Amino acid sequence: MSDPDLVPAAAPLPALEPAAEQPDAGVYSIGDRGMAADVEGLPALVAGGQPDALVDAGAVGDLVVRLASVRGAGHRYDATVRQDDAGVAVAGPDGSWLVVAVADGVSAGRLSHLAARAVVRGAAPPRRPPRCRRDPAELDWDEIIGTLAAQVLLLARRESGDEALEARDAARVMASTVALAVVPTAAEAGGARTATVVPVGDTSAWVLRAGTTWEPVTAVKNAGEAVASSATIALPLLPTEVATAAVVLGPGDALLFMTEGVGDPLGDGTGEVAATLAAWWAAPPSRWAFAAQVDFGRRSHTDDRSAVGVWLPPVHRGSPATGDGTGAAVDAPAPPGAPAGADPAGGDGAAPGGGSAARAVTGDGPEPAR
Amino acid sequence: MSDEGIQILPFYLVADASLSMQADGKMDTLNDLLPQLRDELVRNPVVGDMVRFGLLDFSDDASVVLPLTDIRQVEVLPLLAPRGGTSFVAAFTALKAQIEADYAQLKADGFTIKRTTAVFLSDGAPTDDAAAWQQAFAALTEWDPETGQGFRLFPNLIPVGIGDCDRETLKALRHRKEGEAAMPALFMADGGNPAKAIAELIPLLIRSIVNSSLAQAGATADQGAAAKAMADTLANAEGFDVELD
Repeated sequence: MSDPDLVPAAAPLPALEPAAEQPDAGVYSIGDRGMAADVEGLPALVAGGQPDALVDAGAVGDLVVRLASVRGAGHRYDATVRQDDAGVAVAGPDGSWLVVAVADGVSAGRLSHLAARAVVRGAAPPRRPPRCRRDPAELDWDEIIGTLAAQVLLLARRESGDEALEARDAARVMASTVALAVVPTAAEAGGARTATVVPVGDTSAWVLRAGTTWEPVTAVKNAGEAVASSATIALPLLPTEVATAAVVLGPGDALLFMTEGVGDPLGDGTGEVAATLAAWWAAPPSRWAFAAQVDFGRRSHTDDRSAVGVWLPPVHRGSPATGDGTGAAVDAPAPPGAPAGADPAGGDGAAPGGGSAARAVTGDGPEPAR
Repeated sequence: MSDEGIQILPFYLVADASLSMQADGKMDTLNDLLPQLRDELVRNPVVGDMVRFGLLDFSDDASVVLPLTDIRQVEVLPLLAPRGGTSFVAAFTALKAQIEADYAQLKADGFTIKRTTAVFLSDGAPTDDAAAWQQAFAALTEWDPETGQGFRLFPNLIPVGIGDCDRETLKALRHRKEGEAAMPALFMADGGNPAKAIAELIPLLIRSIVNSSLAQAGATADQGAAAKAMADTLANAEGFDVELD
């Protein structure tokens, strides 16, 4: 079909240095990789209309964002679609808030990938600002979660063609966990900021404190159980109580949201997987490295993997809190519990390096910061 | 490199080695089963990475032929030989002890352990009395999470009948019989291939046991502020757009 006259003669490629040291960012493993990690499977677009991986990245305010949602080896082998989803959006006056949504479609439901997508698109809409126009601490999370549950139920009714479908039966068709969060896109004067995290089901949130310590924001799954269970609460079914957590973040901290494909191998945040992920994610990796790392091989961990990382700048470049007039960067995290409002639970908050990162987990939501 | 958090699905085959298994080539069928299962686990790496396989046989007594192992690593698979009667008591008691021992070892090695599955393959009715084997069955399967009474490591039990077996008795061995994790009973017609049936069961088990499922959610549609918001949204559903593309 081509005119030979228009085809330029092939020129030889330039010779390369034999040892051009390009690290292979494509394949990561933690410990025994197992055999499943190398399954090819059908392309996801052939299998069901959404790609193997969703990757996004960028900066919002002083935050650096990395997002990856990757099909697990189980779904690759079965030639079925990724049931995880994830999204980010910006909301509030002057883009003051980054909204994060990470969803894990419950694999028992045939159409759970649609539930996950609906929850993410509902909470972090791609084409219009989300409904978050107030201080996130003042948001009515009951209303937001209830609305998302209704959205999933309506979709299940439409997909099943049964307009009378009740939530419990709809959940067998499609269901999804979700972790929602609102993170201020600028620090307060002292360099700290308070994020609000709202988990439904076992999609987890963690603080990677100063690149070295994993602090759970949400309850650690299966802690103390003899036999590991995979049962979770998922929309359109509602939890008995919508719990929210206020998390104080300082310079150099990162907030990570992950579905159980990453959360399960991370475990309680103290083992080999935790140490490896902390080393990889102490600072924001490239977008491609982040996605490949989320897809790390580890034997028996074949679930879909999604993670959204939000990194704070390592050094706070605001006005000096002490008023010493130097304008120098304040290179120290704020002491825990210092900047935000009162702890409604009346607790001590969390000490760095131990226990939960959440200062408060309540059913009523934290009190407004300041 | 540690095995911490690597997920293990313990899978036992508990096989009848009574003398009646000699008839109609049933023992040969059983002995063909192991290599076929291994082939299946090699073929499906998702399953093979997770399943540890153990083999017990029973007659008047029971023995552990193959302790829980990655069957892909075993070069020479054992062959079963028939002997004596059919004691379900011996089978259930040995299986319970082996589950406990293997669990302790796996736990010490840092693995995350999923609910055990056991396939119970027999061609006959028990030769011990009903009260005795039913008591041994209860000791293996009953667990009350409220009181902590019973066997917390109880297995999911799938009875497989071959030949001219007592179907009602074998069906009673299904565990659990109800709910999301209800187990089937399989019966092989003459010439049926139990290896193929069992091999096909394993990926299904992986999906039902390992993949996420729904917990009993707390709230129903008439409780709580979130439920009210959900009901309000549903009531005004017209013109509500679910954005997907």
